[in-house]
Formats: sequence, C-alpha cells, structure tokens
Amino acid sequence: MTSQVESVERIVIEPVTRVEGHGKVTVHRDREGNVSEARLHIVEFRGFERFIQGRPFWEMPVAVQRLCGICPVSHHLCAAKAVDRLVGGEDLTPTALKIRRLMHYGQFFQSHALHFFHLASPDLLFGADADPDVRNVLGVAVAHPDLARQGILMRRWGQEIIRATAGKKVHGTGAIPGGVNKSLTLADRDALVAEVDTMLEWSRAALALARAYTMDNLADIGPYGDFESNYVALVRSDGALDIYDGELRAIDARGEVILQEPDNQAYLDVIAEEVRPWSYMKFPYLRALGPEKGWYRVGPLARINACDYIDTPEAEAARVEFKALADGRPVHAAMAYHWARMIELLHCAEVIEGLLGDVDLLGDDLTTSGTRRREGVGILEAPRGTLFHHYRVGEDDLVTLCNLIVSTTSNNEGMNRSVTSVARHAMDGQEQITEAMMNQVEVAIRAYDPCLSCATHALGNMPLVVELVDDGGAVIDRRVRSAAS
Amino acid sequence: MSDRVTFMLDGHRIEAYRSQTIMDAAIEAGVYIPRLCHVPGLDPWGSCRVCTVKVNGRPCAACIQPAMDGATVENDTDELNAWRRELVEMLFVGGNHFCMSCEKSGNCELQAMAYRLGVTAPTHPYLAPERDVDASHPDIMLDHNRCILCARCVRTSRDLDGKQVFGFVYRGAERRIAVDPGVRLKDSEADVTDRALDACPVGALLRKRQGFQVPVGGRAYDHEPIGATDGEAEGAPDGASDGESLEPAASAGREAS
Amino acid sequence: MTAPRPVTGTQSENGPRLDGRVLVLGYGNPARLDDGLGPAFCEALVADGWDAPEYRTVQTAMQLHIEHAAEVAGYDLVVFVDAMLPGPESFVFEVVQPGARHAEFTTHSASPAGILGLARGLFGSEVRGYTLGIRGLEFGEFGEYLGGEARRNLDDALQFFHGLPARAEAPVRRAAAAEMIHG
Repeated sequence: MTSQVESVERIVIEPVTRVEGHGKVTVHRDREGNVSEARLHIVEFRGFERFIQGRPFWEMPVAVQRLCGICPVSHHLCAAKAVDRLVGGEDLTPTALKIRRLMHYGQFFQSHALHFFHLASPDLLFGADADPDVRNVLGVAVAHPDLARQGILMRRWGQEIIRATAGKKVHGTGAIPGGVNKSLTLADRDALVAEVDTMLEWSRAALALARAYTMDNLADIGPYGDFESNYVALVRSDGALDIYDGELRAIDARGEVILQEPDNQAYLDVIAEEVRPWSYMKFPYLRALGPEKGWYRVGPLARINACDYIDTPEAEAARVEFKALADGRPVHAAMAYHWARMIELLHCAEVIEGLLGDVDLLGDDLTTSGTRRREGVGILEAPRGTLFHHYRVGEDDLVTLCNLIVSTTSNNEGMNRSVTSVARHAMDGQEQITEAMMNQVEVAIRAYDPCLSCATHALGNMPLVVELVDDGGAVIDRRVRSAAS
Repeated sequence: MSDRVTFMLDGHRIEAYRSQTIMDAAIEAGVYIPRLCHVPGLDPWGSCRVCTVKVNGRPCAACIQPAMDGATVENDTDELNAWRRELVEMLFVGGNHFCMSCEKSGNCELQAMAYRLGVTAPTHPYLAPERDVDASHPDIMLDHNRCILCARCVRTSRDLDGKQVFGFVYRGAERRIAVDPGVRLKDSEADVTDRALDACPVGALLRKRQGFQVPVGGRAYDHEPIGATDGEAEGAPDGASDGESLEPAASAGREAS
Repeated sequence: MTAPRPVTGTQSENGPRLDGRVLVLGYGNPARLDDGLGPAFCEALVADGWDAPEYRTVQTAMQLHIEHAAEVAGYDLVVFVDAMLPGPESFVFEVVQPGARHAEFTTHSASPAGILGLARGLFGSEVRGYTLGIRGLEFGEFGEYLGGEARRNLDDALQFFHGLPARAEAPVRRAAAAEMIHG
C-alpha cells in the first residue's frame, strides 16, 4: 500500500520516455532441474498513484482514464464513485445513476465483443500446436462468415453508447463528482434503440457458439491452468450479478461464501496487498485467509461463479446451464472464461435494452451533493475484474493518497500459478525453451486477458521474454517473442 | 486635426479614432488579431506578444500600438502566424500543461490558440518547472503550473473588483503571480464572487469543484475555433486588396463610441 | 560520409512483388519523433502519387487494432510499415508468415502477424502480407519530426519500395468481407 503520509509532497516527474509494455517470465529451477517456480514480471513502473498526489479530486475521473486507452470507462466510473463520497453525493439522482449504468454496460458490451474475434480462432485459445482435433471442433464458427463482422458492429454500438453518455468515445468526461454532466438526447436514444434487437440476436448466437465450444473442449484443457481458486466479485445484496455497484463477495473453490462485505469503504478490511521484490505489481489476498491461501481470481469466471443469479432472463438461463458443468459449484477451467464472457455479453444487451426504455435517461436532474468527506472508495466490476479506486484529500481538496487495485493486479497470483503450471508440464528437466513452450505460456496468460499497458511497439520490441534460471540465478536459456514474428 | 485615422490592415482600409489601438480598431471592424493577454474591457498589457503585427514593416504588439494614419499593417501572414506559433509553443513547454486532465480543456484560450495556429507537437524541449498549487482558499484554486503570466487576474482584480488581490513577483524565468499580502489565497481578500476568477484564459485561476460540469460538445471551442466570432465568421471583409473602406461603427452595426 | 547501407530483401523465392490490390498501412505516433516513421512513409508515398491507381490504397493509424483485420481482408496484399529499433540496416522488409501465431498475450495489443491471421482465418481472405520496418533512433522525446538518420533510412526504404515490381490488377469488386461491413 502507498504511504499514509498526510502532507502533500510535490512529485516532479521527468518527461516520460516511451512506455514499453511487455511481459517477462522467468522459470526458476532447483538443483535437480525441476521447475520450482515461474514468475510473471511486470516490468513497467507507471507511478500514477504517486504523481496524482497534489491534484484536485475532481480531476480524478478524467485523469485516471489515461491509465488505459482500451478500457478507460471503467476507471472513469470507478474514480467517479470514489469522489462521489468526497462531495457527499453518493446517492445519485435517478438520471445520473442510469446514465452511468448505461455507460458502464455499454463499454462492457464493446469490450466483450472483442472476444468475438477469438471465438473463431482456436489457435488463440489453444496455441498453434494444439491437437488439430481440438482446433477443428469449431468448424461451425470458422465457416461462419458473419461472426467477425458482427464483432465489429457490436463494438461500434458499444462505443456509440459511450460517446452518447461520456461525451467522447475515448477519455470522456461524463461522470463527475455527485453525478453526470449530461443526459441522453432523444436522437441518441433512438439511434441506439434501433439496433438493440440486432445486438441481442448476435449476442445469443455468440453465446451458443461459446457454449458449444467449451462443452466440446472441456476434456482437453491440459496444463493451461485448470486449477481451483477463490473468487472475488461484486454482487447485489440479494446475490444478483451487478457490475456497476454492489457488495464485495469472496467465495472459495467449493462455492461457499467466505465473506460478503456490504460497505465498499471497508475494502482494506477485506483485501491486503503483498509486495514482492521482483515485480512492480502487487499481490492482493483476502486478509481472512492470509497471503498463502488468500489469493483469488477476478473477471467473468469469478462473477458468474460468485453470483447467485442474474436478473435478466436469457443470461440467467445460460448461467444455470454453465453452473451445471460443475453441478452448481464453481467452474474452474480457464477456458470457461470465454463462455462466461459471452453470458455477460448477452446480459449487458438485455440490461441496455431495459435501460434505453427508461425516460429517466433523458432527465435533467444530474447531480447531488451532501456532507463533504476527506476519503472515498469506489469499487466496480471492470470487464477484466474487480476494480478499486481509493482517494484521500486534504482540507484543500488536493489528493494526498491514491490507491488503485486494478483487475490485472488481482489476477497476478492466478497468472503466476498458471504460468508455473505450464512451466512444470513443459520444462521439467529441459535445458531449452521451445516454441511450443512459448505458445503455452502465452495461452496461459491470455486466458486472463491482462492489461499490462497500452504500449505500441516499434518492430523489434519484445512483447514476451521467457528466461530459464538455475538455482544459482544464472540464466540458462532465453527466448524472445517479438511482435513482428 | 481630425481625430479619425485610416490605416490598411491586410489590404483593407480600416477607420479608427486616434485614441484607439490597432487592436481596438480591428475588433470594431470585425477583424480578428490573435491575442492572449488582451481582452476588451481591461487596459492592454502587451506581454504575451501573440498579437504581434507588422506596422510599416516593424513588428509591434497591436494591443498597445496606437492606430497610425496611413500605416500599412500586416496581421494574417504566414510569417506572423509562424511567430505566434513559436510563442504559444514556448508557453506550453514553459509550464506544465496537461490538457488531458485539465478542466479548462475545451474552454481554454491557450489550447484553442494552439489548435488555431496548428500546434500539434512541440519543437522545443519541455522545461518541466517545479510549480505549486495554492488551494488554501475554500473555494478558489490557483494552479501555477498553468499560469501564462497574462495578468488578466491582476488587472481585473484591480480595476473591476477594486481589490488588488494579485500581483507579480520576481523577474525573468522566476516571474510568477503572487497573492497580496504575500501569503496564500486564504489570507487574501479573494472571494468566490470576484470577477477576477472569470478572467483567467487558462486553467490557472479556478473556482473549486466546478470542473467538467460542461459536457464535451458544450464547451466554448468545441465547434468553433477561437477568433471565429470575432470577425472571421461574420463581418469580415470579403475579397482581397481592393482598398474597400470599412467604417467601424456602420459595418459592425454597432454604435460608434 | 558513411558507406551505403545494406538493404535486406524478402525471404520469398521470387523476390517481393506488389501484385494485385495493395494496401500500405503505416502506423505509429508522429508526435514521438522517429515513432512516426510509418505515417511519414505513407505521406511520402501519397506525395509521390503512388496511390493514384484505384487498386492502391495508403492508410495510416496510431496503432494496430483488431478492426484492422476487417480492413486488411479486402486486399490481395498488405504492407505494414512501422518504425523499428536501431540496427545495422536502414530497413527490414519481410514476409509476414501465414500460419504464424495469431495474437499477443493480451487483446490490447495487435501485431501484423495477428492482424493477417485474423483477416485470413475469420474473413476467409487470401491476403498476403509484408512488414517494412524502418530503423529509427529516437523515440523518447516529444516532437513532430524525424531525426537525420531516420530520415535517411526513410529515403532508403522509399527508394527500395518504388523499385519493387508490381502487376496491376483490373479493378474487381471489393472483397466479400469489406462488402459485409460496409453494406
């Protein structure tokens, strides 16, 4: 956790050199040549939590979006929820709440639509040298020519929702402390409604595909990280899935509820973060279980596993079928992430359909305020998992503390264990890193779809480096997977 | 001697009063001369130099240069716009202007001027100076990172608020706005109702907790560049150098002062 | 005066050719010095009138993203142009291998191989691809200009590109994928 110092220190950051996002995996062996551990190193240091100190709190929802150009809306809304508390405006007006919900479900929808492109490419899910039988099982999808086109149009529709609610497709300003700065125009609303039936239809089709896909491949998961874990997600007080707002629920591998914390502000009672010297990214864990046993996964799989039900009918039917895979207990297969995503995609379409019919979206009562506070926490479900924003301000409204736990951080331990599992299968006793191993490492990480940075690479830059390290720390072999290869 | 003078501005004849500056005369004639520290209603200051025009071949600040009878004045030329671009760039690299998260974005005259002049990326290195934020006042914030030393707050506080809250201290690269009596805003006479708070062209002097309330699409420069309402979009002279005469009051439909 | 730089060619047997409907897609950030080599190459092509024929298209982007797969699918050949980290040659021109890995480990990032793979696998396109990597030196600072050496590498790359043989293709209906998207 960042320092709790109250006084504001002026942080001077030299102009940032080009951020290079890449992943580095080191595979550590013991003396016998067996894999003892694999580590996924996050090698960028963004420093956001530090250099945002000294800025006024109303800049947060806008500034924090610069962390990511692909999924900025999650940060925008989560920061807004936190600063709502600073102005005493956490009980939003009906219009503000619905505009924000629409914004969130819209960006969720377009984010998940990205995975359309991957449904028909088994290589992406299983790697280039997976069993050909496995890859061919999706002949239906490969021969489905409309799939990718639908993906593009679904993303466009989602981005239109964002533009209409946030003001811009990327890095908008719609959510402000205590509410929103605009509501929907009739023209915007009607344009969105015109396509909602098509979006629902395509979402159903994608879900059917993902379902068939997962069912047929469940046996062939192999070493890609089909392992048990705890899960964390937001749920409504009655246990329903809710990606915008809810209580922090943790379940164990058997599906038992470990805890459910209704007060978002108390997240630090629930979650602690461990720092390890070899990575800039921290390792969150559930305090109740300690660092060894308290690690957890977040994201679509976690949400579908953790909730009791989904409050839209078609997605709920899909969820029941999904849970039947494991007799109602949590589904652990990493490949099942993709099916879970498509259930959420359909759920978003259903929710948006309902929201678009609500006249409150056109209202003009946009903000509210009350007793001001010096500290605020916002939690919401980003497409990749639970997101935490925590700010503290001085009497002068300037930020003195910022703590962010992004979804990828929560999955840090999970990713490390997946990679360790893969490394054990492929590397025990080996002296060299093969292409096949590189593929498997990538597949393992890919299931979590981590957001490591929005870097654009010059050709020849290195997105993935895998090193084999002996028990003395010497590098035995090193393989680089370049963006151009 | 008549108190009316006539000069040529980019090939158009402008009539002015002898007491007017080139800037005043241009504004009345509906011609836009780019400017930052100048705003009608305040005494001209002449510090930003963005309004640099050439009078009979010599560069000078239009906001403080009196209209000269028979002069040839150049305003909208490639050379002058290139100089203006340099000035705006230097203002950017001399401060810490993070447009991405600044609440003035879309309403900011410096930003709008950069768009108008075609500044897309700086050609000079960023100085990244250490500047602070005075947020001591419950309702007012002064962010020195963004201050461009235009003195609009100084003049407005003095002449329109009758207060003299702001003044300059130090010189050269150290020059900055200070609050009288030399302490923080909370100990000054500044009040949230002061007109000085509306005078700042950038995001330096702001009322607290108002940021981002105007949505994208509703901001001052979302649909029109800076200077558009000053004469380019309407009332601007048509055609080239045909010496068409413009009577300031008649053409603009305004009362002659 | 430095010696002329060696120029690398392609790995294909018959040498590279720009046959059929060709898309040149240059990407990078022009405000970060040499990172703008891709777009700069494209601007030079357009200034030379290279894209005058109907079967040639030049496009620029800040970065590759997944929707480019749809765009690329409508062509017979795509040349991805980007800046490259420093190296001995002034540029590297290579075939993008079909059947190469499809994607990075995160959906946030897209590579030429990934885009090409998606264009072929998802849209049933037969598009082939090359990458043209032009060596740059300075990427760290902000500025909208190329360094001297990057400029020379760009000129080398342009000279090479203009010298590539090409067979014009009679205008045909746009590929099915593009029609699907644009109606």
